[in-house]
Amino acid sequence: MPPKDVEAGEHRTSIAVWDLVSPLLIGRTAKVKVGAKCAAGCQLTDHRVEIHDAAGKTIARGGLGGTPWPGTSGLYWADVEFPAPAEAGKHTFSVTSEHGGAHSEFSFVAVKSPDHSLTIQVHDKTTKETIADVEVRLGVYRSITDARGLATVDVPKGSYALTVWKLGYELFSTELSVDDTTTIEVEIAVEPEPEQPYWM
Amino acid sequence: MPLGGGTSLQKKYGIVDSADQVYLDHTNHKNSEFRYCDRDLVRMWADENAATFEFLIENGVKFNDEKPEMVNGGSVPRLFIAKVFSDDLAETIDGRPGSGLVRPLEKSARAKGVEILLKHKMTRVIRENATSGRVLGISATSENKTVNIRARKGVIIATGGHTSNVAFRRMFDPRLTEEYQVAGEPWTKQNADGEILAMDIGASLWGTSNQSNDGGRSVTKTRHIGVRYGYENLRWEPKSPMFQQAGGSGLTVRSFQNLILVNQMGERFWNEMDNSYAFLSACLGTNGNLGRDGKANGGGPIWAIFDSDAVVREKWNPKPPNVDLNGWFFSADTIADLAGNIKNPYQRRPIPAGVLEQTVNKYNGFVDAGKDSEFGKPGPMYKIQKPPFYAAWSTPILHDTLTGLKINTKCQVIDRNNQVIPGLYACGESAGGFALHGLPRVTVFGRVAGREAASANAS
Repeated sequence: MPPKDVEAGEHRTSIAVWDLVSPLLIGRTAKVKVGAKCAAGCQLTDHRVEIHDAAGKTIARGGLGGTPWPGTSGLYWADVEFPAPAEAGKHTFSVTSEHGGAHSEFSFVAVKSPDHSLTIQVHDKTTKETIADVEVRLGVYRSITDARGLATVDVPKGSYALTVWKLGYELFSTELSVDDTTTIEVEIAVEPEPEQPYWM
Repeated sequence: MPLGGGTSLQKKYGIVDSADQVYLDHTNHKNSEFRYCDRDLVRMWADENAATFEFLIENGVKFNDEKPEMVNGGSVPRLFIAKVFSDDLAETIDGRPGSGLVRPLEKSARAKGVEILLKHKMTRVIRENATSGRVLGISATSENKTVNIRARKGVIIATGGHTSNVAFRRMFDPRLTEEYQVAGEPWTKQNADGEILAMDIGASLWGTSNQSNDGGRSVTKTRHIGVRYGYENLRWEPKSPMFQQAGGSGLTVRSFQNLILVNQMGERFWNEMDNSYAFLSACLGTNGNLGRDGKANGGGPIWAIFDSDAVVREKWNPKPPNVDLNGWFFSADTIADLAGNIKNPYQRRPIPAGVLEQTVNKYNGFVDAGKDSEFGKPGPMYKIQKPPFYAAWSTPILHDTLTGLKINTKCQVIDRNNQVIPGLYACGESAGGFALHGLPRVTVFGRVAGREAASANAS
């Protein structure tokens, strides 16, 4: 219910959409968090949010929960599941909130089911030690290395841009083809310190 | 302190250097910082390098006994770091090594009888005639009284540059409007006081191209975001007596992968990872301002936009004293609300919520695709999606004054008719002709100015 003494026009509401793991697999169900915030401070528990596909068709609904998202002042939220599109490529869907008539958009990439696995072993170029928590991107596919410096990315057969990066290291990138399940090794170099780290 | 030419510490570490090599390293035409310099001044500076280093040691400056580093595009290592003077933050700028230079020199000068007047403001340089004759002294105000101070041998202008003076700095770069803050403030303002008073009696400026040579550190990328003063090499700590005026320490950016930078319109404008002057020029660009309101210059505020996941990755605590909530840092539950929350004296119009949402959505699409097809940010890594969201002041901050009064190799100030102004000297960032960052320039010219003035005939 809205707080007392609030005019109807003051219920400007805005939306956040997060925790959507991209890419989505065609034919699977995707899960996303949707939050809504009323400028008037309304408690939005059980208020409805909807997801619409690119054609505007409503493909999922959810009811906002009773507790604001941690760290926010009043963003009520819900987990909403929706069917991934049937076509590969980039898609932009929209989200609406019945409270305040809010509207927002989010985008993602849909892909075919992968048929190969590429395992990447990441080392420090100088020390040759394996590195954990390295971001690995293979085109739109992504993974992160484990404690052994290993990351596995499931991808369809094809050519990809491989990008490997961790905070404090230089970005590594190369082009490669994946036509089988395989393992490759990558070395990344520590980023140099700024030239003049002193106040002079 | 990057001084060379064969200093005692260079010799200790087996480094072979010479005044000629120092000169060649600082006149390389490929370096835009040196391209527009007065090479006669650079030659004098090179010749005086080693002697100035020994002068500093003789006057109490202590250097860390560590192998020097390469600096300023030099061909041999010259950078020795001064020992921090003390742990007392009232005596240093947040424990930076510059205190190890200035405080011993102050101590040495006082021991030699120098009186330092910190409550006097120079208001005039007195010359025999308006623009001719010898300089006789200065006028100053103190506690609402005007005093005239006679100079027996000379007056040395060393008032610290001009970057805090918006009108003055815009003579060299009209883009540098009032939104650009200055490194070193709020500790001290560099108001061009000495330059202006010297110009009043006929002094000329010199090497003015140096101030906007698209190199060096006249304009710098902010690294400590969410505060007014975010110069990369100076992070104000809460224990500093200046902290109340600084307003916050800032969130130190370890990687610009964790955020996007948007302009006053809420739009991205460049690859955030770029540290070159191309990035700074983009910050100083029109940024959507069509100039219809008579305020066409300046690039306007630049805001870092990021989410709670970025806060975790960077290990930030986005609260005071790390950020300044008085117009320099904002948060909100949604991107649309964040746009509405941004209120700052230099943000002349609100950022439209829809524009900022669109900017973030587009960038998130680049992250999905693994490619920034708009500005070429390499491998855009992270979406901006998880609430709460943040906007932090990330507008470039000014630092070096690289032009000033025209001087000769004795640091005598030259007038508009290319004649020496008798009895007037200039050094430090008040003097023009040599666009070198930091202390090596100011110590050498300061020592030469003092020596020449001291050896002049008394009037």
